[in-house]
Amino acid sequence: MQYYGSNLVGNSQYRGNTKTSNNVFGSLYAELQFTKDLSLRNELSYSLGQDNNIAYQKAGNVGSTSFRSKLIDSRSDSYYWSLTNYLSYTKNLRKHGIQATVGHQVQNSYYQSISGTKVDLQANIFDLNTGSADQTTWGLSGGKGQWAMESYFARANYTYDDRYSLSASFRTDGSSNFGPNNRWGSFPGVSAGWTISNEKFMKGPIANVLSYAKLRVGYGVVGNQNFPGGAPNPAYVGAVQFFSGPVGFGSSNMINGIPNPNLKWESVKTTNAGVDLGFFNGRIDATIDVYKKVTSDMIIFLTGPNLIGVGDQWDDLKAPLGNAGQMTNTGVDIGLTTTNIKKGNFSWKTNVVFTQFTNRYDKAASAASALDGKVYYNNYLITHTTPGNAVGSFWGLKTDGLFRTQAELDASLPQFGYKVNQTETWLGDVRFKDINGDGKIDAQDYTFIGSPLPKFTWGFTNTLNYGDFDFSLFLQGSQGAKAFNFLRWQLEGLNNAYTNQLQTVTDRYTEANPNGSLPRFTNTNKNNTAMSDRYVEDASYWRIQNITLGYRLPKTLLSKVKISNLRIYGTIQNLKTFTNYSGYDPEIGAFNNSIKLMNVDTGHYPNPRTFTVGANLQF
Amino acid sequence: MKIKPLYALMLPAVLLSSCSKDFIDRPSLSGTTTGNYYNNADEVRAATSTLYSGLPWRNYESRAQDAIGDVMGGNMFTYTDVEYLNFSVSSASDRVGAAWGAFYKIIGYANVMIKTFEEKKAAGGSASYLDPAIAECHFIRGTIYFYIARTWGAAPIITDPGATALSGNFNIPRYLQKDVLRFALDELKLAETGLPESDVPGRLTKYSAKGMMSKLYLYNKDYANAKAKAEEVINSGKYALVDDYMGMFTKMSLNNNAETLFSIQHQLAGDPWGTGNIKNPDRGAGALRTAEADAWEMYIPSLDLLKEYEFGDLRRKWSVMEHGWTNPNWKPQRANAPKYNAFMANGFKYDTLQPTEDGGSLNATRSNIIKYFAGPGKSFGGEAVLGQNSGNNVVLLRYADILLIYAEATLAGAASTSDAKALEAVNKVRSRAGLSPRTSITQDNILHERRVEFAFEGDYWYDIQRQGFAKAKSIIEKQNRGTVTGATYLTNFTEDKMFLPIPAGEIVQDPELGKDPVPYYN
Repeated sequence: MQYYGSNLVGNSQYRGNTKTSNNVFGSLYAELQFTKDLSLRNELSYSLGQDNNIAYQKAGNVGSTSFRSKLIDSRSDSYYWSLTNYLSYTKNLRKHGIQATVGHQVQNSYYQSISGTKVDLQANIFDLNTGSADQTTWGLSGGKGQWAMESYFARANYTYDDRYSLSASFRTDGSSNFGPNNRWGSFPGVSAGWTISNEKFMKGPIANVLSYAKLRVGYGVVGNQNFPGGAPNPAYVGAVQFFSGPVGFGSSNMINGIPNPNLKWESVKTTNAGVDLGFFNGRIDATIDVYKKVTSDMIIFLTGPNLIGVGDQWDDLKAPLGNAGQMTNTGVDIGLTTTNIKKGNFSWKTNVVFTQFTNRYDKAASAASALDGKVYYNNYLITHTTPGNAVGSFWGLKTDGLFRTQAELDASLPQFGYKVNQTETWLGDVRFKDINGDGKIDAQDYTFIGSPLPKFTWGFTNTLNYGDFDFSLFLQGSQGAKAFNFLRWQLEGLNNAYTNQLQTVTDRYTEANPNGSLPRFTNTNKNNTAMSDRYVEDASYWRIQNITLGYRLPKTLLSKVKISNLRIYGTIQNLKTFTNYSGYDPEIGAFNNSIKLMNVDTGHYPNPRTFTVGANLQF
Repeated sequence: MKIKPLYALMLPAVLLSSCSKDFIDRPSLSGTTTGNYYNNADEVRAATSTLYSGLPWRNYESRAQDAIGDVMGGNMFTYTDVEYLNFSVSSASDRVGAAWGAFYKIIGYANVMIKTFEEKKAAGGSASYLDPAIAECHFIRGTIYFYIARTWGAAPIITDPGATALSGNFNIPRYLQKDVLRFALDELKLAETGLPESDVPGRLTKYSAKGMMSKLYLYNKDYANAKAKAEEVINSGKYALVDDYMGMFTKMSLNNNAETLFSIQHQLAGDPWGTGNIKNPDRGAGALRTAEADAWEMYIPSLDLLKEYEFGDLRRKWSVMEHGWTNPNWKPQRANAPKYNAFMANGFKYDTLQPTEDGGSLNATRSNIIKYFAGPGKSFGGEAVLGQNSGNNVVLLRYADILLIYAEATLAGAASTSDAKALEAVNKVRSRAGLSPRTSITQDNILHERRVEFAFEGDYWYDIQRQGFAKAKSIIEKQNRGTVTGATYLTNFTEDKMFLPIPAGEIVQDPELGKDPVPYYN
């Protein structure tokens, strides 16, 4: 084994990526007013997008390592349009207000892309024509896709005396994502509101304290037709896939996946109740909402253990998409806005939001399946959600410190069938808990080791105005979510002397450092790199999300140059994060947008810190 | 009535609404589906071509094949896959998961093709091109289950991944090893029936199936059938040993040569990933790393293997680079390395005295692997290499194997044999290697021959394993698994090491895997 230490900083000087995006969007409409109450509106919306991504490796040398230049030039464009017709009827009769709308909408989307790769660019010029003429070094790939949807909708609103309101809606959507069996989905909704403060009994002295109060209740169903990343579309027929390069004997093809003609809309049923309150003529506003959202027929890849032979990776036989299972989110959202000081030309306002929800996976596709998330070429299972747990629950062994004495080793249980010796289980290795109590540690001791969902999140904004100056400070936080720091599985793996490690590994267990916090170095067993809570961390954080300072130039000055308003401002976004999380950024999101891999950190771009200086100008 | 401008828009809107019946019917844009494709031999054979490619095989052939076949077998030394060197492999080990995933992925590919092509046939497609393709799939499926049965023993059998996935029932048991082997054999029999007598180079034929069957029969100690099938291959006259032994593994021009019965087809390309042979950098001597060819020598020959070669065995210098080994055509050059460039200017010489930064080689066993190492790149006098990719096929079954199977099946467990045809078979292999013929052969003779003939081809562990635990233990514990600075001998080889553990994640998802195996056939 020859190890050549890469100079990563040096290497990065020779690599880069430039992305240029152009977008055009807009809408046109026409409106026909048949009578005073009845109108038809006709609207065309469109959006065109063009992207060009240039990824390059320049030729050059770092030490004795030479780089071969390479250019990947990728272009894609997308077209979207929608055409909507609404027939609206509005009628106000004394205290009665009626609004009704029926409509129809069609949407159409198309995209195409092409990407070319060449090596050995002349003079490092980023032009595909400067690349090598040797066709075996070329790369060329492309793709295209389309999607269409048609919807019918109706909505009616009734209000009485600004006190009571009632509304009902119904829509039917048809999507090209689904096969003829289940193309259409219907989604109703009803809601009612009672503005208590407009009642007679609320007038009078009480209005000085409680100036506004409204109760709201609602029930509605919305549909979801989105597929997880990498899914073949449409998914109801078995598509034949062609490769971007030579495969097997040359030009080959592959059956892209298992079709599911019965795939249908996912639906989210929401029941909610809320109250809006205003005190002291708007000095304090509060909003409280409680809700229950039941997501049924979740659209996911029906992947199981690898042995089935289907998966969701680019080179897998794609698992069928299916409507598997149901989950429930129950939560409360609270918002509170107060004007703390308002004196002369000085004001100070505070806004607090608080969100708390619990998630539960209610039922799986069958009694013998679960939602499972895997990483590292699908080799390692790290989430396993069975009914009753939160979706995306981390799954693995529970650690119980390290073996630090011979006595502890003598009392050890066999881990993965290992014996006690230096190449198998030894001093400095992780000790796992025997969850099922069978006297040995193996896959059957994998258990729940944390939820990726926060216990609650909050936001806190303070806004100050003084004369022509304005200042705002926005703090934001999330409490109680766990993250699976898979990067540490590699960077604190301590199982390979030839790959780079974090500095923390200097405090590993050795004979000279028997109290080290990390396990020993060993490349002869998996005691220390088995999936376990060793990599699960608290991802709670709070951060200074935004600070803005603005100054509005005096009108007297501006009127001379015919400017009605000029405000200059400076903003710092994402100034500082306070967290115990050891990775780059505790705000991780879902890997590949998969609910099976939420808060799994396999290395992600941290949120950028941005500094903005700007001006708002109005004539 | 008040009309705002742009009322002209109304018209297309009304039109579109009226013809919306097909508006949301959007099959895939390329228009190719299993329903309307696969209507001729080219389309069908382009699908089965994928089964021969590195796309599904990649995670096995790159590293898992090395770790299981040669590191565990004692032919390779490594600092990376040390678990396989020490037999401390666990259900959390990387290569175990990679091999498992790759094998079942290939089976998934083959399963969906069999199902699709059977449906095409039922819908009136011609058996003339569908049957041979289905037979190719059966060969692949049988071969992989043969690998699975040898690697894990008892294991699940899947034949319809779509139905299994859609059912949501993932409680799939392990089946007894003998049933997995029987399933594999039945698949190979279907392949034997359906495959053509001959085909273009590299494509499977009847004789590929017969060859794989002889190997499976030998594993089962069914010597009569093993001998009969090997003999059918020999008597076909379609195969011969290739003189350029080293070239079979390192030259693209020798892909699908006269010795090959089955190999993974590679293309000199890096896209899609796996279409190229990515064994190259894991084997290549670090001294030959260039801007064109990666080389990090993750696997190197074991000292024990070097000791195994008889004096004068040409396969040693065809398989291994050691001090004094040269290739005058290889002239790698590097930037900012005048001493290195001067040393390489007149051709590559494997030199353990030269400082390593200046082109010398000084690793733990003082040697490097040549098989599947294509050299420093085309600009430096080697075969064309694209970074990690070379274009060499990975051979999984070749004629030399058939000859040695024939000899071993003739010996049939006896102490020795002087059967003329058995001797002829063994001596063909020996004479290519420049060795004197044998006049009688024993089981150990054949094992020795197999070890050096197929070194670094991922086979030796299975040769040891099929000897049974007692003999396997004595073989393993006699092997020096250390380095030139310190010999290492294992003393604790136990029976549970004969098969690899099933990956932990799979058992979490399918708890039945943790239970005792059940019969597949009643």
